[in-house]
Amino acid sequence: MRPSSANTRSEHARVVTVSPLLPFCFWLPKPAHHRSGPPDLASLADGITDHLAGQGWPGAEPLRWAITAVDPVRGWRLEGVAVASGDQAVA
Amino acid sequence: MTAAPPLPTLLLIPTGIGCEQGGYAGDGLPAARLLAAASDCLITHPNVMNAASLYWSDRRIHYVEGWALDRFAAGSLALAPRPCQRIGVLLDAGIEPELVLRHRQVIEACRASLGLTIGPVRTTDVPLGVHLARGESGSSWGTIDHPDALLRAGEQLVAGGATAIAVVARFPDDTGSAALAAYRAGAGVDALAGAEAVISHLLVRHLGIPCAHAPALQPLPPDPDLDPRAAAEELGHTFLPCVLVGLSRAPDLRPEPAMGGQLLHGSALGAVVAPADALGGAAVLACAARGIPLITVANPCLLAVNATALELPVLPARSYAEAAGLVTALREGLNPELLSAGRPSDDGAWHPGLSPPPGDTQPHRPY
Repeated sequence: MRPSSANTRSEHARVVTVSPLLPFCFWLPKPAHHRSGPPDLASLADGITDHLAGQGWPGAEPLRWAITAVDPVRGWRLEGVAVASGDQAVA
Repeated sequence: MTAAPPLPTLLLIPTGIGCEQGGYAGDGLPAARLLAAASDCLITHPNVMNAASLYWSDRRIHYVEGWALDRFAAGSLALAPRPCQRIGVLLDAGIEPELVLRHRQVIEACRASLGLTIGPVRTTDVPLGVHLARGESGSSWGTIDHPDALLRAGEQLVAGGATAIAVVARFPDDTGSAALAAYRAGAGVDALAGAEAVISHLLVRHLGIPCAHAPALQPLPPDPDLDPRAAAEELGHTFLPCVLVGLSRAPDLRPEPAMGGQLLHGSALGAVVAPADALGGAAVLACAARGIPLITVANPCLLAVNATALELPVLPARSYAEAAGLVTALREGLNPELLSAGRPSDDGAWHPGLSPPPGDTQPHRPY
């Protein structure tokens, strides 16, 4: 679970700042070393993170995503929504 | 003879991809009830269980929001069943007063008639601003203008004693659209579902407690040709009752490693059941990577991300009834391949997620 200060019961006023929600859809080529078998979950997550970083959102975290198509040439199509970095709660 | 121990089973019917069964208004519930009976322990998500004014409460079914479910499947969250939750209700400031009153009356009714523990109730400081969209695949998704307002209200509810949160956001009325007409006729995608998932994922990720969402909408004109699978959403004024009932016994979420005798761990999963053409989600892939038997059910949807495309070993089932039979076989320690017509069983193939039979020296192979 993502650590969050939100679980505290502080009575102090809080200001929550959240960066934008980022929809994404792109084809992730299968890695050169991927010969056969299912895609590796960590590699997919890294692929999404790298894609978003390339779009100007370094550190963005995928919130909801899935492989929505598979193509022998293009690889895996990944669709979803991410949260940009900077989501934080500050006292 | 004593009964076999429960086989913790994960049922997934992804939201917003138009599954013929489970893609409408809680119409995955019959499958969930059957699989709960077969496994004695079913973990599933609100999209399967939520039928607006209709609901089914079963202690064998654990109601877990999708963001938490993905992490449970990956082994990074454990589930801690508890007898009841104190449900805070988060209302979008964009809901009109009459609709707010309808929702407050649902809260009062669930307190008075079902004995649920509900409160506090908070309204966001600004309207959330929900927008709906479709992805390239045709699946529904969405976003909100003010996620910060959502999380602020969630924090206030937790500070006020809530241990779970039901969130009600004002969704755009889509009356008269072709997409809504197709959905009501039983041939479309739930346009709201993807945005609902984004909202509840945000809250669970931020607060670490059970959350689920109900959209607030103006009632639709009656449709004599309404598909039965979509009918549950047109029985009342809100979609909130099923969310309150589901959350009332939702398990707590505990980061792994978590200790305790009553905890459910992802490592204890004995099977995962998913639509045959929607295997590309994080939960399925996490389970597959750990060798948990994957039962795929013929349940057409928008996607074609199947076992062949992903090179996943699976146990195919033609229906949820057949899937329940496979779960029962796994629970009883039977080789499910021996019970399925048309599948080879004469080469000693054995499921990689199961213990091999006594004396078996063959390497584990995909089925």
